[in-house]
Amino acid sequence: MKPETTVIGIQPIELLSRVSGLKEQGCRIVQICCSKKEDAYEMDYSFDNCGALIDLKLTVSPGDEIDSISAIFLPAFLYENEIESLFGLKIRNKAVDFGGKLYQTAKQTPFADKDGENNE
Amino acid sequence: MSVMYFSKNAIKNLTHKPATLMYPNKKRAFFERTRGHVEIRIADCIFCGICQKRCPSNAIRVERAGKLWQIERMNCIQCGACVDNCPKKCLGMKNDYTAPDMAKKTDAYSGA
Amino acid sequence: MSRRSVIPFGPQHPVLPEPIHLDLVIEDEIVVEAIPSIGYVHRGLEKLAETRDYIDYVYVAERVCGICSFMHGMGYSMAVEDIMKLELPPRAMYLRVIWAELSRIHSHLLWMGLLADAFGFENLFMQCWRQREKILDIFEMTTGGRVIFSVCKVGGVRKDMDEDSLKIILKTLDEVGGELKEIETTFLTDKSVVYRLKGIGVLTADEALSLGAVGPMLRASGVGQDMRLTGYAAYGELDVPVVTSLDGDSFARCEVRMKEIHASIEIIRQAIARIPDGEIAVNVKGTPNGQSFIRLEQPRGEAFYHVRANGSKFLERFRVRTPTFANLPALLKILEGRSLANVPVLILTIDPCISCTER
Repeated sequence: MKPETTVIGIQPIELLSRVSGLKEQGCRIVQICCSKKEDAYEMDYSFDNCGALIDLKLTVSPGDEIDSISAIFLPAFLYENEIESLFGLKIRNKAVDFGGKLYQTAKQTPFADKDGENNE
Repeated sequence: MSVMYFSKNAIKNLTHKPATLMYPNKKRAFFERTRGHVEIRIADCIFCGICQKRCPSNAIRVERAGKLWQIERMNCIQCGACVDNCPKKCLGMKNDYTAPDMAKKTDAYSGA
Repeated sequence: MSRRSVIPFGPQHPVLPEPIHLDLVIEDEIVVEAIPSIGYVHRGLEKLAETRDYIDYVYVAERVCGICSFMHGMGYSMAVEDIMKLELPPRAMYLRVIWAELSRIHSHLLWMGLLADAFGFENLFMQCWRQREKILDIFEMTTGGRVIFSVCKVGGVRKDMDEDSLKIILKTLDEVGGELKEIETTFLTDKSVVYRLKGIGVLTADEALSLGAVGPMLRASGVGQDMRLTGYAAYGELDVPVVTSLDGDSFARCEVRMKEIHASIEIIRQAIARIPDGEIAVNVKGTPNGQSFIRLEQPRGEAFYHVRANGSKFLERFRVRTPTFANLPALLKILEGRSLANVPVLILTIDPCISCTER
């Protein structure tokens, strides 16, 4: 018995309208996850709708900026600052901006390189 | 709402024996399953190096040519992954802890 | 208008077990705004998953946090099992539930103690931890570790509990449940305790939901969300009482956690009564390929695990979102408008666990 999980692939341009729709349905934000692919970043925005998990998946090319959803879901600012400080992905219009310094790591954006060198 | 309800307990604690042990005069008995430290029966070891590969904290080093099995005691996290995966069952988890130390130390066992 | 000043709170503070820093903007001893900065204990455990064999990584995953360590290992294992479509033997599921609920009791008792310590009730603090010690002894007896169990693995559990251990658990729980009565009465009725908690840091249900709060934080505000109701592990076969309160203040959060200890004792009793015989693990062959989203209820609230694998023995991505991370925005909200003297207790009421927040 596994709770329902829906994964929806979207375009970065749709993000804000989709997220506002979820807000109107009364969803709760669960998390935002960023992962580095070979040539792009993959973002997962997860929301909880009364026990069911809704996951919005989108791909961002390096160098592109995406919009912050913290105007719709305030807690998103922490996740977005985390992604900026670990992956170096730029997110504009965050409710609170830590300037990529949420985590003060010895190496800048430590999760950005895929091969994992210098991480041992 | 009550006032001074817990004073009863405080007085009880004053007149009763302590709940703690007078360490180190009285030592606590370990349970049979307590994961204290890893021990090796070096005579049975075939220096295959599986424990070294399995160790999540890279505490074990095996030198096949020199027949040397080394463990960095301070790095070991007592997870027991090496014990579970040892093909010769020569590794075991003992239920007493390694002694505290001022420096990191490596225990080496050689199976000449 | 009075002058505003900024008071730095932490990273080292007697009330904080782990480092977090808050900049408190103060106006006449009243907090106007709080700005958090974290990152003192970031260890990069998510990245480490990419260079460790997925079977051995469970020993790292459970070290994300020292208090909910078992549930981190369990969440990681569940995510990998979900990808690999492994059917776990029922006994393993029940054993996981027993250990998970014991962890919840131990975590809540630890928190009650810390809370008592935060408002200066030393005796109460010691009595809470005295009870917790009995639970830790159960852990040591059944798993070999007092804090880190290393008992969960991909495909099941590593150690079984025999009849005698189960009997000892029941006996200890009766004992703890009985001794808790005195502590509970003190927490819920003692004048000085009620004075420090009642009406302090109110979070309404709407705020809690929109700020993404989880766990006892959310339930104390009257929202009965509990991931155990989704029926992972053996929870689907057990009756899980969900404790809620409507007040949303610090007292409600204390009350919810207090009652959750009794609820957990009840769940363990059910689990021990129904635990089936049989295997405790399945053989794991091959490597995972695919992705999985797992959520489970930790003592502090809902934890989220996302595992993505590409068919090699190293995972492509392992993501954990721990409950404290989700509760931080709610903490900032409840700090607003409270006096500086209440800040330490308010920070404690979210049950902060910073190391697991930063992983």
